[in-house]
Amino acid sequence: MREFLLSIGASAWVLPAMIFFPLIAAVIVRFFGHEVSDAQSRGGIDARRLTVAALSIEGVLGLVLWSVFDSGVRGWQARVDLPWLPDIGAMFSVGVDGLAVAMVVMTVVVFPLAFLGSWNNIVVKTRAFGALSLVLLSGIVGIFVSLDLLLFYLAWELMLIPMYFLIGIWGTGNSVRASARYVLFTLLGSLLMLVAILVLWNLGGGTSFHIDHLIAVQMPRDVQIYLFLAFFVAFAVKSALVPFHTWLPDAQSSAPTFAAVALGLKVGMYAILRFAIPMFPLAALDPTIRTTILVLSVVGIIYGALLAMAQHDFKRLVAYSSISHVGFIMLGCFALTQQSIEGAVMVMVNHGITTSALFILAGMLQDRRGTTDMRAFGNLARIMPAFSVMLVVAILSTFGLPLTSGFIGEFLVLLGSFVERPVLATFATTGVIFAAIYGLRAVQRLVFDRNDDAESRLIGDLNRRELAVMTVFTVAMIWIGVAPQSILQRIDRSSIGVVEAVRFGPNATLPNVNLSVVK
Amino acid sequence: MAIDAGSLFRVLAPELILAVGAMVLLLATVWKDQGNVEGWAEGGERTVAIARWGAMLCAIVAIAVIISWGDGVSGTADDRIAADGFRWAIDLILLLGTGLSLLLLEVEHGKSRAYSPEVPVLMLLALVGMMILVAARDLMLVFLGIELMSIAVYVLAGVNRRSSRGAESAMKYFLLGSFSTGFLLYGMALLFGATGSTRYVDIAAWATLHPSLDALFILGVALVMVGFAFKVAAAPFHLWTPDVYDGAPLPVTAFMAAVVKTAAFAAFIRLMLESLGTAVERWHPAMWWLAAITMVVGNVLALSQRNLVRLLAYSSIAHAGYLLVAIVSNSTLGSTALVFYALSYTLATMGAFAVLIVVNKGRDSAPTLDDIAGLWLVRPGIAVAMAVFFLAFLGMPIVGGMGFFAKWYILQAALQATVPQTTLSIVLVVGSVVSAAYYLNVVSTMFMRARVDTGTPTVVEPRVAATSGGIIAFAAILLLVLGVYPTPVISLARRAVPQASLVEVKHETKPPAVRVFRSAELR
Repeated sequence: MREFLLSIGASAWVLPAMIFFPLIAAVIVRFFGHEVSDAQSRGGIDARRLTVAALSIEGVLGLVLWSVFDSGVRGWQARVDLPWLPDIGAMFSVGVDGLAVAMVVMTVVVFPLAFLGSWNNIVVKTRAFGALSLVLLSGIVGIFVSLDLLLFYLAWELMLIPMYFLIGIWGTGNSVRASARYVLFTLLGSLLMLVAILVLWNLGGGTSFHIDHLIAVQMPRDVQIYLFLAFFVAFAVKSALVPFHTWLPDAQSSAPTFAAVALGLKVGMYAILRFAIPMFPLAALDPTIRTTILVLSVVGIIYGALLAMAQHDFKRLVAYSSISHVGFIMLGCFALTQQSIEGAVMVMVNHGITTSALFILAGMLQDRRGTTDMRAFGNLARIMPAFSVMLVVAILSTFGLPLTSGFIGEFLVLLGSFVERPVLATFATTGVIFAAIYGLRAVQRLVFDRNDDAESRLIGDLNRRELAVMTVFTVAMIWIGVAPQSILQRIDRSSIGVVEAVRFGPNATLPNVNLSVVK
Repeated sequence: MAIDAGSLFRVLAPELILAVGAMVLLLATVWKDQGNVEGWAEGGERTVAIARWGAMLCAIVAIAVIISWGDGVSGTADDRIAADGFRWAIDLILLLGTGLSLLLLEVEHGKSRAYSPEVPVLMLLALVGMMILVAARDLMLVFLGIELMSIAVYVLAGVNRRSSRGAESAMKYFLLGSFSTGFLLYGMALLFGATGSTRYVDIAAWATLHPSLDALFILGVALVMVGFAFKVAAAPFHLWTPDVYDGAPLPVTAFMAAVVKTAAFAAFIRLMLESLGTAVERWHPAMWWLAAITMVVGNVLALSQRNLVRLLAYSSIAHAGYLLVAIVSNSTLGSTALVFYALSYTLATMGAFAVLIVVNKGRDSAPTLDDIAGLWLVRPGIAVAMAVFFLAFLGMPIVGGMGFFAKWYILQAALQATVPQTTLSIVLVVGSVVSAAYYLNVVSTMFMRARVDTGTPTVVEPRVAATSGGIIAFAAILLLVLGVYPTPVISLARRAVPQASLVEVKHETKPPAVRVFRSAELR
């Protein structure tokens, strides 16, 4: 398969195709799709079907990328450089390494499933919804594959506006306010990052925005620290690290299912690992900064879990649990050992899958009853047996039961960070316990508790489409939990790369040092 | 230096075409039947059309002349009149803006029947003034241009004779405008007194030779800055802006917000760069604070506006602050950024006002947020275009098109200046975040709210005429295309460098006179 794909030159076109295809598809969906009511009464293609078809093609492109990726090679793969703005040296430069390929493939596989899983969530203005979803996807893929910092910034902001509309127009509750808050918070961070990008570009001679060029720029320590902070705040806001998290629960709980899933993808954490840490190693190793961030991570793990325990609304519970996961990812990133970084990437991937599954499940409850308040439900084991099974698996994965996808990532993070900071790692471990508490309590309240509310018995179990979607998620969670090597071997070399770049300079290599435990 | 009539004629050809055209049109419209004042007769309508299309024709001929020259005319007959890429680039933007304003006038006239044939002629005269202003390298020419421009615009602000708000607006504008012209003129006189010349070359040379503090010179610079700060609506000299914008007819407001402001900024940056560039350390702190205060005041006051014209007025004050950052950078990068910004801002402003004219349906009051609530549900295309314009004001990449690169070049100018303006850049981006709150409020009103029930039995949805639809589509598409492929505008802006060489020559002849200032002196 790989030979065939390489023989048709897949590595030369797959990344540009993954960025531009959704944009073209968005136009097609907007102008050739039909609203649900029209499609039923007058014929024509339902815009939702077109959207799912486009998202699936993007998913197939993602699998093509996954197959052509050579895990034995260090450095960028499937790289494409095209001229773009010659006068400031910006290029359309895309490429992936192990971290990026894991994130981007996970994203493009989750998106069609999320759309299918929330099929009846959106029935009005579906043309616009589908088109915006595709633009959003293009932005997220662009974030993961950009090697040019200006292109990355454009993709970063391109993600923002579709998300704003998706939450504001199709959201529930006070979604207009939540979406505005999301944009304003993110914008404050990202505009400071824009200034930092400009300064960095100036320091690099004003000729290129390419990451390989900028990583090699020599900077004094204090400049590195200022620039690092600008990048870090932008990424921390986007990924909702405590104390920059306040926008997330509102946005994610009022967003339509699909947008909530997209908010759960940790683009900010990926960007920290891709840009902030390797470009400013002196800042990332600065004891004050590093300790502060690690403490914030652990605070986030525990604080997110405690708040998740206090929620009655299932969507908010999942949102707070993701704040807790962000703490794990950040702990892994800044512990700066190979295991911890591999673990952080694994948590990102697991989080992308598990949280998506939970939001899709929450969306199913919402579509059936119009609420996700756990007090309104109960006894679902009897009413919705298939749903309950899927929910239990996803919850088990979210608190990291061994043999689910949640385990391997958190385990590696804790293992890797214990070497560096044993005390903090010990505190972080308690987060797993709290996660088990809020997870199991949610299962108990939704699935097992008696509920005398007559209305709660009238909801139906998963239909075939929903069952198919959730089966894919469940299989993925268990497959990653049982056999994580297929992902780990792809991210292995890139994680070593990050550690080496930080600890020994950008071009150093460690000969014959095998730090990995899971092989 | 002797003035060669032939080359002077060549260098002033676009201005002469417009001036002659304006006078011919004036005479033509006076001779034609205008109908009575209340009900415009058929003949009156035809006269209005003649004036409008005649004015358009003049603008198109002037554009054609400038484009046909390309890089051809760069020599100058006289060191008082610039003939550089900066002038031609700004002229093209002014002509484009005026052309769009004339089209907006037609749309508005179709709705309210409020304009006489003199309006297009006045716009042409204002345009001549602005183009002289952009070319001026002599304080006397600056004054000539600014007066020609201002007097025409005072009249334009009050041109709707049936509107008392228009009269109030024109009166305020006239009083405050003449007041500011007084400052400007006084400052010019002091500069002349200090340096003994009104030419930029001589002033720059004098400033290089006299690095010490000179009260007369400083006072002159300060008063000239105050005069220009009035014209470009920089805080704390901005108070007239919301009232005047609010009362003037919408096409005239668009003209003032985009075209007049561009011209004033172009003249301002040329003055600061070419004549006072060598004395930068003497005006730098004042300009720094002017920029910072303007950005803060504009953005903060815009937050609470429900009236869309007032909102755009305050936002234009904020944008003036961003452009002042380009002046603070005191480099040719600043002028490049100004050209790029001016095009982006002109397109977005014209488009936004075209939408306002459509939703206002010819009423004599300014449109508010209620008028655009739920616009997406009834006029999706217009709503999407308006979102593009507002996101362009905000400076969003891709969805806001050129707006992003406009801000980018300002930031680049600020950070690549001799003394990097990091603090000011941070003020700029924080101001942008504040501005996001009110720009997004407009967007969310259009997309996320229901239509406001006006209580009338038949709610008339806004109708989109071919002209207004065309302007809106033109502006939005151009913004978006140039937002991903800005290279053509960049190459235009790159050539647009005021001849700072005038000053640099002086640097070489007398290097010790240039004071090397430390970063601590300049924030």
